[in-house]
Amino acid sequence: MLEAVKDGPGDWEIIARVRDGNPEAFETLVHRYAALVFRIASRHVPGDHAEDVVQDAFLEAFRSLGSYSRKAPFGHWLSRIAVRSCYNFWRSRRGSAETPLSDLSEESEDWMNRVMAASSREAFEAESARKEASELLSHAMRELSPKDRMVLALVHLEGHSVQEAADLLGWTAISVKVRAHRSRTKMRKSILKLLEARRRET
Amino acid sequence: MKERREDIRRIEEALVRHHRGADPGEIPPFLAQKVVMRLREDWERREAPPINGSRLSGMVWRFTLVTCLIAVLLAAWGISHDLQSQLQLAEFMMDDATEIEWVQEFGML
Repeated sequence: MLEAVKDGPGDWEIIARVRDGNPEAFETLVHRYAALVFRIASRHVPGDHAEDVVQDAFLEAFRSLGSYSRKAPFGHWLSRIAVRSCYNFWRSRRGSAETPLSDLSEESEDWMNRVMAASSREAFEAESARKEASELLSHAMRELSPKDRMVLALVHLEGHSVQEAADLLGWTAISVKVRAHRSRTKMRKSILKLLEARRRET
Repeated sequence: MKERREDIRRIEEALVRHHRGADPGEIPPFLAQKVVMRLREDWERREAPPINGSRLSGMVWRFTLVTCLIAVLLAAWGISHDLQSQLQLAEFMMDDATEIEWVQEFGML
């Protein structure tokens, strides 16, 4: 997740300059870490909102720079802020209209059938890479609360440990563990609903 | 759910594989520059004296405080100069001894 430190002054040196009253020095950190923050944002929020989340994350990082200590590398600290910005994005969208089941495209429904019928590993992997999977994943996660969504994405989809996810989100490991189990069950139920609806249609 | 467990597991695995293998896409052009521009706006907002908001609100409260202080001082002055009668106090505060209807209305005269 973290990139190697590039040439030029170290992160801590730049942060010290910003703290000494030179906010323009922060621009170096923006150029250095924009790609990292964008990758995090684009994994957690829809592509057309990733840029806004990146801006929010850097703004929050700049405002909170006083609280940064050297306990963790700046990139890790910034990653945590980026993940929380993604969570804030979903929190702000809570309550927006949900797409009904029928809104899932015919292609995505066919995709489920092809995945279930894939006889070889190669065929299965080829199906996994198709864009229909993205639509189905968004659909399956749509009913999750912002907290459950973030935990599901970090633990199950990305493969972080419970402790790592708790660290990124700033929540307790117990809370993340409970949500990880609950969110996975909800996603499975959501997939089951789609399968049952598909079966009734055919 | 039990009979569909294998189907669900396969779809779930495909979704996980898809997410892990997903290309985050091209970094939008000038992303860092746009972030810097927004940061600059934020710096400038912080540095510029606010026209409305907190400063104006502070002025209102200061004005209120000074007004209250003047009222207390005037009352103290009136008492110290033996302005015991309600009429004298009313005359003093209303600045016009002839306009006493309002004072009468309240039974002060």
